[in-house]
Amino acid sequence: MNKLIYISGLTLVLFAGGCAKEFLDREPISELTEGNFFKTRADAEAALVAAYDALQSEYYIFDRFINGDVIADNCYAGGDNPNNFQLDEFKVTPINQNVERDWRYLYEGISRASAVLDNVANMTSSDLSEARKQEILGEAAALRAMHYFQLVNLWGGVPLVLKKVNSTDPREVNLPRASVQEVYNAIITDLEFALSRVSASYPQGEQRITIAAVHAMLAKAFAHQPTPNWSQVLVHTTAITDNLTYQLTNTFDQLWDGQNENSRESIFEVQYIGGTNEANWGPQLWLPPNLTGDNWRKFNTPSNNLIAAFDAAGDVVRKNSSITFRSNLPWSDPKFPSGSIPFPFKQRLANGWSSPNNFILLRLADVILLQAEAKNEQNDLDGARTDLNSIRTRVNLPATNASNKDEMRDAIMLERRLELAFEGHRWFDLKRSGKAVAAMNAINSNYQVDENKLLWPIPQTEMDRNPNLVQNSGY
Amino acid sequence: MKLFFTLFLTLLIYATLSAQQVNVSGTVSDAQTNEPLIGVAITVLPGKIGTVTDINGNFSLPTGDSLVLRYVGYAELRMAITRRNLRLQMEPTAAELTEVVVIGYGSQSRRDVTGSVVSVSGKDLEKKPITRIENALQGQAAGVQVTQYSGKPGNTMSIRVRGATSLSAGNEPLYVVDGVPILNTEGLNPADISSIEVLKDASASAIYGARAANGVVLITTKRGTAGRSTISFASSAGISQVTRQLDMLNTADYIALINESYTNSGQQPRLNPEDYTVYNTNWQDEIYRDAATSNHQLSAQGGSENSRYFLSINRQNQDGIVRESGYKRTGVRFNFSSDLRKNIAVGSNFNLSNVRFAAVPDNSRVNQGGVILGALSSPPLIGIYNEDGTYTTNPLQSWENPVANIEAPIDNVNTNRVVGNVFLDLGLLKNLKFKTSFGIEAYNNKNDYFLDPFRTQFGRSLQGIGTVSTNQELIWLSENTLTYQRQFKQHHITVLGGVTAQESRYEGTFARAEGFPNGTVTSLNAGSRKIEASSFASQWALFSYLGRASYKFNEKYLVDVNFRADGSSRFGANHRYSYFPSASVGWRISEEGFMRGVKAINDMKLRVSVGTNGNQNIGDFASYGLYATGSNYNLNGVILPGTRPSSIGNADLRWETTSQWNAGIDLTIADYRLNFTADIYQKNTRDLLINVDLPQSTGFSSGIQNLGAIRNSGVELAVRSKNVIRPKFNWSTNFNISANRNEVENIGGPDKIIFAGNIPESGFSVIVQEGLPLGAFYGFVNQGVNPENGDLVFADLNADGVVNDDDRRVIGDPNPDFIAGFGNNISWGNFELDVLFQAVYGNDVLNATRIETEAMNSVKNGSAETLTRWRNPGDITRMPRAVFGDPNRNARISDRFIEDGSYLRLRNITLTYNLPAVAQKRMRLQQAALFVSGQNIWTLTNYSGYDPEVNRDGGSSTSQGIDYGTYPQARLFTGGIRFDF
Repeated sequence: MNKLIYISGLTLVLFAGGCAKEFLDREPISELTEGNFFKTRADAEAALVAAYDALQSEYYIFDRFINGDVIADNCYAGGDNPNNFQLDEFKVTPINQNVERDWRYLYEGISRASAVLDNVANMTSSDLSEARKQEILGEAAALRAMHYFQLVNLWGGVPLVLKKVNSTDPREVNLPRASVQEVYNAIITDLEFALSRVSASYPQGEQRITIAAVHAMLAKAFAHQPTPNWSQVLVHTTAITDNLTYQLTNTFDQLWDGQNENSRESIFEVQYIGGTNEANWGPQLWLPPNLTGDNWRKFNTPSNNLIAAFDAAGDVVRKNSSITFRSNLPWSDPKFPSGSIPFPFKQRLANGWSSPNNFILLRLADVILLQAEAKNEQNDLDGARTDLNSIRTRVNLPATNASNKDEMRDAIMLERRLELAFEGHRWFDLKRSGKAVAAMNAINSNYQVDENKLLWPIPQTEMDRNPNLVQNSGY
Repeated sequence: MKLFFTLFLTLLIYATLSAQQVNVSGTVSDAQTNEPLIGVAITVLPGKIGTVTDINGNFSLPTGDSLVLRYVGYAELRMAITRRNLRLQMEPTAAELTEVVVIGYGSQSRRDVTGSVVSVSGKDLEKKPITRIENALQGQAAGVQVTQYSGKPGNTMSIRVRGATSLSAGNEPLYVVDGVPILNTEGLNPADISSIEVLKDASASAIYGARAANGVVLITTKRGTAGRSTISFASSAGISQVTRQLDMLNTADYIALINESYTNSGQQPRLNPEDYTVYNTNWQDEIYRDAATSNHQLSAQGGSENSRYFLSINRQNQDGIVRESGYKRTGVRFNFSSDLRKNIAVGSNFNLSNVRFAAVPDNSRVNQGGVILGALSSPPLIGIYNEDGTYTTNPLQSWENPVANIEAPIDNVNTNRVVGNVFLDLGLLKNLKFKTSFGIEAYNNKNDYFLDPFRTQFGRSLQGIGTVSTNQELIWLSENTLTYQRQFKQHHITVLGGVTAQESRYEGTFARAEGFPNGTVTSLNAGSRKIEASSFASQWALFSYLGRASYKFNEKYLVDVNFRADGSSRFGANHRYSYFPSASVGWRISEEGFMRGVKAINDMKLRVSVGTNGNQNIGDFASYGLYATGSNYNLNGVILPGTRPSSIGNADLRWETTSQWNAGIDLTIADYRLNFTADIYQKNTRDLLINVDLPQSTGFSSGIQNLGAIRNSGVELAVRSKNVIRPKFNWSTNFNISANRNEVENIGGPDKIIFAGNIPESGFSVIVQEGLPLGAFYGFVNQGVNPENGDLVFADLNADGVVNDDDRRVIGDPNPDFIAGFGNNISWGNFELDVLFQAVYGNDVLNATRIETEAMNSVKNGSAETLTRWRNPGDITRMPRAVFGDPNRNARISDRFIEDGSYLRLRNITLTYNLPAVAQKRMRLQQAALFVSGQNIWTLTNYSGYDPEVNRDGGSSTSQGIDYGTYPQARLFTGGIRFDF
């Protein structure tokens, strides 16, 4: 009897030992791993969807408009957030929370795109056709270029991370800053890679990255790089303007009335569905209380300077489409002593933080004005005038009276401001024109803008984490 | 490993088969408590054959004429052998030495303990209005720092046994209830506790290997005693209050502050005093209350020859001092054991509990709806409600008032939990016992949140929000041990070996809806927009071998060797197993011949131990490179699933290892009336599991690595003294004091820095760097207000002409120089008084609440201190000017906000009146008592905030001692009765 007990006890111990390995092999249940992802076409598509999803980050919903319009002369910070005031008033420090989070959002987007580029290229799944595989790679490369374009405009040269990081080894993660031109070169490389791979259009009108979108991004990259390459800008803008698929909408207001999303003017537009997790929470931040249901002071208040610019140009159509005024508000704004306070009006439905409004990242009017600029810089004044007037005609403005290259340059820049207000372009345009310092100091001498303030500081958290970074001068 | 166990078992078999024939047997127990006595030396005369009693007090010997029983702390007992089965009782002389100390997988007599183990009795816990087991350890054990970092009733606490060993793998000890390791102590009823043992050194805790680096807290619940059945009823009720209020500005002063702050920033004044003549609201009065507390206990215990039981039900209700917050616990305990045969015993211990929390938001500022900072920051010039029933907001910035943030959201957490085991003890042979137990811990937890669709702005903008989240986990544990106990002449050997397997499956769900028609139906079916529905699951497993050999020679020389091999699913295949050995020796000098004559010393023991433990408390799948779902995007109106990279893999991930040595002395003198225990130790932790911050350019915020080392070293002293022992007057004192020094030795190079403790808009406040203690505060050095412009001048520490982030340095240390506890128990006739003082000395607190109340950079109300602010050139003051936007960053993290957090606190005072025996008899009671108790009723401190025992970041290892609108501590008064029938 006793022996039996010992034998069974012994067996128990040994049996348990034999099973231990299997007992301890535990796989994640609610997550995928490097080992079991990127096996099928659905995996590749899901990774690409996540790369698109980066365009719904706070950066593209909110911060891009602060960076494009509030820092520039189009908007005041509004709201209550000292970080936004710092940005508006050129008092940015390395611990500004927007500066910190924007760096994070953009690089996270880059990581998602790189995950696709690194892994899908090696996939051999039979359900993934070679054509679709190449499209996926192209879409991901273009998305990565889009984030780098934002980074290089905000910070100048940044670390170029062109592979998904799979190690915590300091030699791999502590990358130094590349030069501005190196970043543009990487952007152009990614976009040219994409150009030969993405489709002219996608089935069912899916708003993915198309050939036209890549052309538009290339045009912008060549225009924004330290020494613009106007002939390349012209090549890529013409590729779009020659394509009859893209036409200006009949009226300017059709772009913003919520009835004509993904219009024939739209080249690339971030997609939202109201009332779901895929909704746009941005409009709640800047629309007036009667459209949002709350009564706090809103962000991104259009500036007197912009309103004056609309008025001086006699631009009633675009002013009325772009700005809405409200009085008798629960707060007062010393900038508007009359009590009638303006609000941006290009995304018009708040829907309780859950708006269906898409927003347009790239559209034909932007491309036509870039084309005009390229023609003007290459001394094709008439070509530039034709392009510029095509934009003005739609909004019932007379033909431009610019009569020489300099006047034309200024006229196009003003046109861009009025046409593209609150679309996140103004600050980058001002900077590449070389007029940012003068323009901002002219508005408010307290800004004390100098060349250093045209770039943001590298976030302090990033400086603390990566010893190979050198801070921008002035911070 | 298999080989080891085969050999071990073979040895056991041989040893057992050579055992001798039994002639006389019996049990030895304490004459007063009936507790079995372990290790009583028994000699048969004539012939001097001897043995010792086993862990159940049993013995057996070849028969003879008479027996001599010797046991330290008990009177020698001699008696003739008249029967073959004897039941013997010994009279205690010094109870401390003979108390049974629970150790991992067994128990020992206190005098045989060679590791560092503190015992805390569960006596009288039902008289104190405490909600958690951890409260019972406050101030009671040297080397154990209990920080009740929030005053929320029932809130978790932070326990540090000999300092923090880890940056990110957790620093809380392992809790084991009646042999079942548990996730946390929530739901356990303090009144059910018989004793708590804290295993502090590696020798004591190594048997728990991979989870014991932060010490082990063994909780033993009450058990029935054979032959004495008792029904016990205790009930108490009382009141709790906030200990103090902070002085804030009134309406007139607020208006002056705001207008001045706008004027100083070059803007127009914002407020006209004539518009605000109605209100002068004290928001602290509006959120705090005198809160009711009650506690009811009913228990029955007893037993017969063969079985023992303890049953209890309890209900505790503690309203929070902040309105709408509170804690309720209802629990049932069932402990039972029975001897089925002479060599077979079965039993079980089970606790079922329901815990409900009603939460209010704290630890955040008014901008995010924090209630405490909301009460301090909201301006006094508004009332609570608008005419339409909505809540008022700051007229300059539409932050909700704090009452809105208390009343409008409903935030309830409801947890059901069962913890328990069933076990079988099998006496295989005379000296060999097999024990198998099967334990479970299971809980389900549901959090309901609802924000009214009308009353607050945020609620209105989304037409109400409802969320439901549930979590459930089931952990089972199978433990099988063999214990062999034997005495050969003066050699006493106990050998334990075992195998355990543990497995967890965790699941959670989350759902959110918006668009509610009203505030009446708060469940999600009423929400018109279903925003989110998700569920997730995880799992882990642990497989371990454990062993211990104890050897005692002649009651003088003690040796313990422990070993545990743990395999964890959380680590990569290459590093899955780790081995945790420990050894300790003890020398009872007082038993030596040369000490016989030294009457002054009753008992003296030296102890030395060394060993290693581990920490595996990281994510279940931290070694994998993971992709997370849910990064969805919609194309053409269809929402498509997206999957993103979420963590960097690390296949080489391995255990954190903590090596520790300990040397101690136990000394009993003055006729057993004075007992000293002193220990000195050093703990070295290496291969820290650190979630190392990565450059964000990687696309990740951090990646987990084994990197670096932390050292803790310290000394501890505990004194127990019986000052007065008289028939009608007894006075005993417990005193303990301990000091721990913590140093981060390595986190990847002298230049490597980890920041923590982020304060909104002021940045990080804590630095982790080699050579510094964990949690060191980091910031600027304030040199005072510039009389010219009213801005603070910060020291240019590197003298480069500019003050920037390079001019920060260590400005404080939240780790105390020492902690101490001082308890007294005085009984005088029918009265009994318990008084416990607790002290923490030398720790700094970052009073970040003052960053909110003294920044004067926004439209928040200021503290009364801001009245001393700079106003005109030439003003000499410590308080800078008020200026909207704070261009000079006067409110940056600086030593301006560092305060001394030392305190001496009257933690508990309880006065009991025991009804006279005559009255008790008349009422047919075994015992009856009336008691009044006060918790936290007096504190001596220089700290200017609500309370220096505080931490916004809870049990965080890196950020400690941060006060940022944290729920304040309460002062409690209760009174109650207790009857034993």
